[in-house]
Amino acid sequence: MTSPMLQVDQLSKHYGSIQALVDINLRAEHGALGLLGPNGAGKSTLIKALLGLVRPSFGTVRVLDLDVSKERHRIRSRVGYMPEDESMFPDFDGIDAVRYSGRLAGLPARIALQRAHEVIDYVGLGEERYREVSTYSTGMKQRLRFAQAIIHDPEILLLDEPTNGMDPDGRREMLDLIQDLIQNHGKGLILSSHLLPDVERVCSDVAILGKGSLRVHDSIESLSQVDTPYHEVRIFGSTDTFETELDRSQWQWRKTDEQNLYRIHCDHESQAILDMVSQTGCEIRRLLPGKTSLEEIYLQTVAEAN
Amino acid sequence: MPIYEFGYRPLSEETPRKSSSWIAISLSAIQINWKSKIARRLIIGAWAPLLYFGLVFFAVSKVTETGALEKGSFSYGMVSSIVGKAAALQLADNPESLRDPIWTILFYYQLRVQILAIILMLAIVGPGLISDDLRTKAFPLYFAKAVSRWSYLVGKFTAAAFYVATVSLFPAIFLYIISILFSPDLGTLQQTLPVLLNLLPVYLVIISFCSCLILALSALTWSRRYLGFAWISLWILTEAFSGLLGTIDQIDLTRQNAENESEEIVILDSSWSGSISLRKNCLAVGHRILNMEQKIQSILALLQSAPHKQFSSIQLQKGFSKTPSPPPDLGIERFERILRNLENSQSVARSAGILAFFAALSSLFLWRRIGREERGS
Repeated sequence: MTSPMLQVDQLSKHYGSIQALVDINLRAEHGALGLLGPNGAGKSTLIKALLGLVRPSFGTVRVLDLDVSKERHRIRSRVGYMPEDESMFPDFDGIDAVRYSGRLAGLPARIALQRAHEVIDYVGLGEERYREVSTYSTGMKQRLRFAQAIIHDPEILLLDEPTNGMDPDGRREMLDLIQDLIQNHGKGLILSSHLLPDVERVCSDVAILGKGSLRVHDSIESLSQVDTPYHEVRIFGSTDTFETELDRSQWQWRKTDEQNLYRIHCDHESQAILDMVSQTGCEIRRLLPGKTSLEEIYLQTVAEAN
Repeated sequence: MPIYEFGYRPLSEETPRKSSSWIAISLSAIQINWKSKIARRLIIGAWAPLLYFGLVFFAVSKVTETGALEKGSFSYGMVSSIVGKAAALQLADNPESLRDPIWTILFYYQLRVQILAIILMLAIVGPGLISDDLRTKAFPLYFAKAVSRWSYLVGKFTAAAFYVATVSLFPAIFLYIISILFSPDLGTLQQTLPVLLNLLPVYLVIISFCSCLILALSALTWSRRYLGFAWISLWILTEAFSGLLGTIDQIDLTRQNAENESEEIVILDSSWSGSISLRKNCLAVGHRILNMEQKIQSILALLQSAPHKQFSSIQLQKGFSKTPSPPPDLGIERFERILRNLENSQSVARSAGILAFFAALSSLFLWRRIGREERGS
């Protein structure tokens, strides 16, 4: 049995009377785990606890089978962390900031410089490498922080809101890079974000936090499976007739916010729905087996937490 | 294939990853501050007094050479203006006896000058050392990278110490080397090596104290400007307060002596006024390590043992006027005054204790402050 990427047992953290984390139990195998939750849910605190940057009030944290309280330096040398806030080494140009990160990670000066050039090209800042970091745009700073996180070739990436403040193209490119590292280079990933599409795109598992406690932890695939299968149907024609027919069918259904789009819960094949619609004289514009979106689960979980 | 098309390349297993992070932190802090024009100009300014001291040491060397003591010569004039005519003549006549104490006194004066440069230099480079990391929230970047707080603090301390040394220790060592090169013989090195060996711990104490103090201040807030101002104010205020208390002590002493019916002179016993000044504490520790009192007493003993006649004969030998009047400046009073000032200064043990206390307090504060960033609270 291989050791898990991270194992958190009964982790609690409070700042005075404020409970940042409450009795978190979480085990994740090597892969891509997304941490979801609204602001103040405890995502960043959990990530910092994984690095030993926050001292737990109670509980234990193990990363790569190493105890954070005893071997945090060994963990940190094997993990690449990209912080959420505007963290930046002051008064550097791009290449020096990345090289400096490499030196801090223990790389010798020459190798750190060579590696800095490689990763700064990889993240797409090649043309801006000699510019002062203070003149970088938000998106460029995010790329730079990402380069700083990967310069020492870590086994796991801890990324805290990596696409914050990026334009759509930049965001897509950043997610491409993350995906490349996971799929082609076998890196583990713990991605904290409140952008659900980001997590859906790069993560295989998701953990949803609400008010400091872990609400849901499962693979995205199994979360997308629903207890009662349903279909999404968009029709063209008389909706009244269609709805009357639905009532007679004894299937559970509801009209969604989108125009003429219905969600019909039925155990039958989609052929049964096709037959029913043809009887009403309406036309079908869309018929898809339904999936519960992560957003729906997320909203539901957060609502429950509140 | 161009480098930008390589994509991501993992590091090989053999890549060493044991480089000391404190060296990287230190070098980076030095490199960043080196970009400051003011810092570079200050370094040049701090080395400027070396021109004067270099000339003095050159003159001292020339005086000890045969025939250099011609009346009105530059070397004689310069040395006698500093140590008095008698000491200058003694130095010329018997360099071995006076070289060590005179060099010590000159280096002590150089230290007094360089302290000002230390304060200014740290006002420029010191405040940003930690406060910049606070301002830019850089601590997670450091401590997510297997950097211990010990490495962080040592790195920052070394950077501060480097800049202090650049305007104090390095000029002193340079001055010593130049002086040795000006010396007439290699015996000078043998006689004055203890001076250099005593200078090193003096500067070590001052560098350590100042570096700890500025780092502690730097960790208080993210505003560089306020910190620079606070640093300068700290030195000025302690000096002013010390001066004020010293004046009050002096007035009190004068009054006591005036009222004293027994005509026994009251001497101020180890006043606290000097201990308030950071600068005076540094100098007090400096003169103790340099053993200034003993050096001055040895000069005094030599001058007092040289009778007037002997002095005249030296003058004759060196080609001076046969006319003995006006009475020669033996320089005894000058050295007695220096000695008196040293004795009147505060207790050296107390000064060392104050410096050690503040250095320890600063270190403790830094340890806990940076610890909070490293391990959270």
